[in-house]
Amino acid sequence: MSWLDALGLALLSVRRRRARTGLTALGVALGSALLVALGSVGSAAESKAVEHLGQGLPVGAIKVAPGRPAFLQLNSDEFESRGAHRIDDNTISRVRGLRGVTGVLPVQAAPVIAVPETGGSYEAVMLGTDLAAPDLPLSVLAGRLPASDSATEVAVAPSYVDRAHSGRTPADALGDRLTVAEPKVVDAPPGAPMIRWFQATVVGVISEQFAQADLVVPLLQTQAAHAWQGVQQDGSFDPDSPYQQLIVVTGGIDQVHQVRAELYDLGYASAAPEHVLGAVLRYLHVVDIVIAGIGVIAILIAGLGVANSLLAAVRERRREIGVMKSIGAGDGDVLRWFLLEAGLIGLVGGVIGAVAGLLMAVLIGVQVVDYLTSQGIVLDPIRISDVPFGVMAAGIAGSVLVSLLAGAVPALWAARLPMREAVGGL
Amino acid sequence: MIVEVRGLGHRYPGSGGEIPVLSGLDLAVEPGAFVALVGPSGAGKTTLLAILGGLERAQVGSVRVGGRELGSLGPAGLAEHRRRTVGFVFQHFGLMEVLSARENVELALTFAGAPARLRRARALELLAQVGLAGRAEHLPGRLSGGEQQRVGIARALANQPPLLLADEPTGNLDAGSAEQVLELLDNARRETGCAVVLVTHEERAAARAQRVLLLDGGRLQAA
Repeated sequence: MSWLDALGLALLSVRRRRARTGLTALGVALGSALLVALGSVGSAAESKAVEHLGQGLPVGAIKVAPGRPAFLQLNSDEFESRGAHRIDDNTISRVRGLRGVTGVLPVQAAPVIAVPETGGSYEAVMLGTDLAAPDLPLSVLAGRLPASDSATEVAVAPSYVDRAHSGRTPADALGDRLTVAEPKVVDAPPGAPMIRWFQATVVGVISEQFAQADLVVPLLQTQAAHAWQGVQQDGSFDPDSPYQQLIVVTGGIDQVHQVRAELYDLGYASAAPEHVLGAVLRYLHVVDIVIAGIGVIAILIAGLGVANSLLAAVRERRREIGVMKSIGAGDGDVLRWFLLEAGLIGLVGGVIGAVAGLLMAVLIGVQVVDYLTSQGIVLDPIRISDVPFGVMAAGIAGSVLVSLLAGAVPALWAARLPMREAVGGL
Repeated sequence: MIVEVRGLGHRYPGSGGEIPVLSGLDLAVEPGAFVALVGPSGAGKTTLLAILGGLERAQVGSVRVGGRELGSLGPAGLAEHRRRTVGFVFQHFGLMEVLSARENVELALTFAGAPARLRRARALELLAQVGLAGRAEHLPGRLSGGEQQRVGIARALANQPPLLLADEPTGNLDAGSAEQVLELLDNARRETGCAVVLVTHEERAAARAQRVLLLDGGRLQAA
């Protein structure tokens, strides 16, 4: 009998013994669901932690300030500066040449007051950057990014949509007229600050808050604001630096330290959440190990269920096995039949469990995010798309593998049953 | 001869030592013959059938079926013997509960390596021959005992074996169904030329055979 024929026989057997198959597959599904749910939560927690600690920057991004690094700079995630060091175009080209750097983005931030045409106003951070730069780490939800030389176009973060078009889609914000006021602090005489303003059209909505920016504009816009508002740099940084900051994108978290060391050698202070992220990831790794242990135990228990069910099936089907052999089945045919039946039960249970586990993960994620939000930590909820395909695939493959292993002993037992004994009445 | 048995001996382990079942048994069956084996319970009739069918190995003596010495065959050779040379008909029908009548018949063809496209047609043809054309897709649980046994006969005939081994095939059937089953076995013998070795306790069944042999004391003698 070929594997295909054996598969057909196993399929019929599984399909027509619905109650037994259903109950056994349910046991596998529970184990698989637990494995997938825990794995998904662990994986999502890791990506959310990276996202949260990265403060809206891509994973592996480093901020570079126009200041010389202090001696202990590399031991700190924050800027540790001991004097000014301007960032200019020459700096950008040198940083681009560093090993492990995949992108360099000059940025300049300005505090502004945003006044949507729908009413109200709010304090916002306007971030100017080189919008013509290749590999810009910005993804657009709706519309497009402003033209790199435009003085009247702006892209907004989703927070703008929440304020100006609550409950609507990002596309509804496109075409909005937005007034941006740039306050200037003056020492004397005391009174209201001086304000310069400009009107812009919303041309795009970016997918998430980038570097904690509420508005994204071409660099020339923030350079103009910088010239108007005057010195805003930290005292230890160069106030006349052509660029207020660089965002250096590396190949990943594991390359951050090496690139920061090279920036140190170049003479620049840098900031990246490498130490806190490392500590959090180590902690999450321990949690992952515990979670994996619980999941493995769950799926092994499911495997015992499969073994128990198949052993009972062999006991019940002794005569069937004997009859099969009497009409020409070899030991290998019987082995294949029982193994494939075990594998099919594992597959059915694994698929059901993976889907159930995914839903469980999303529900758990909603609860966790609600709790964290109540504690002042804002996170996006876990979405189905956040769950890595690998976790689901591992849940299904694990279920099939454990079922096959659990089915191996009953299958061997069935294959080696003495024919005369098995066939009974003959 | 389709069956040639010389000096067959067989023992089973018992609590007080080995119990001889067959001892110096000789048997010859010609192609197309209808032989009935009768005898008291425990005489070894079923053991003889199991040895002829390759379900059990002879401990002493020579057993040749279809020209092949069964003692010289390995497990694969014995499986091939069961596929091609013999067809079994059981008292308990021996149908797989999860397979329909057609699928049960197809199973024997599957083990014999028949191409998938031919199996269905052949199974339906055999079921039609045993009068079950309209019941092909029924599971055994929805068939009467007589119908199940007819499916069993169709399955036994699937690979056109030269020898049919029937162990009390009418033991679980009413008189009408038993008569139908015996008729089918006899028809099969006449139409395909296969030999039939029938183990039975029933005189009416034995009366169908051309030769009735009594198995007693481990040997065969004419009844």
